[in-house]
Amino acid sequence: MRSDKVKKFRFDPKVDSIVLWATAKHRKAYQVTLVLDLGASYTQLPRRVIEAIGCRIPKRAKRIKVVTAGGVKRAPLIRLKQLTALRCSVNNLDVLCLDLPPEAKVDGLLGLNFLRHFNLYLKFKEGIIEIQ
Amino acid sequence: MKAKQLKISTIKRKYRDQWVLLANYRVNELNEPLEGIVVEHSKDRDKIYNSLKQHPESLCIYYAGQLPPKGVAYAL
Repeated sequence: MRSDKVKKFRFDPKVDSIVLWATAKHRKAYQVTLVLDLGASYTQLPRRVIEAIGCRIPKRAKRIKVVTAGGVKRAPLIRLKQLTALRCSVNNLDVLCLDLPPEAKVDGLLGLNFLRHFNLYLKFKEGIIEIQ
Repeated sequence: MKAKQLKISTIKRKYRDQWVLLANYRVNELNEPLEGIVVEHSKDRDKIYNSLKQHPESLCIYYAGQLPPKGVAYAL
């Protein structure tokens, strides 16, 4: 059953980026860190993480052009069974298989294709995220 | 020797600025890890990613440092 209850979370509004914990689930479930990225069309996870949770990346997987801060890359788009963040889950989510540079120290991005399933309110003055 | 369940505060202190793989972990309602058993640790993220398939269980990939790191900004 789908819950329309508003979920509230505190965050530090002074941080440079909002980093969230998420559960990527396919055959196995991994806890990963994702940067909340309203500029990202797709949620992004590293290839090795996607493969390790049991999600096969077919050679003929759909590849899309990704415009990143570092240039244009082509990356496969695969379907993950479930992604959960902020206590909200999306099933059968298309995820970009692309590594962030190691210096980022996070695993990937939480993009619009996840967030658009919900109403999201970022209250920076109060340091509150609301999601419904 | 059997690996020990460690609290996240201990892991942060012991493996400062390293990537850590946690098995048998427990999380709070925000999916943040609270404790777990350290099965791998390294300063090199690729070593950690390359070791994922060696572990059959579900895992938590944890960076025991500041996010974003000091002097680093994300422009993604």
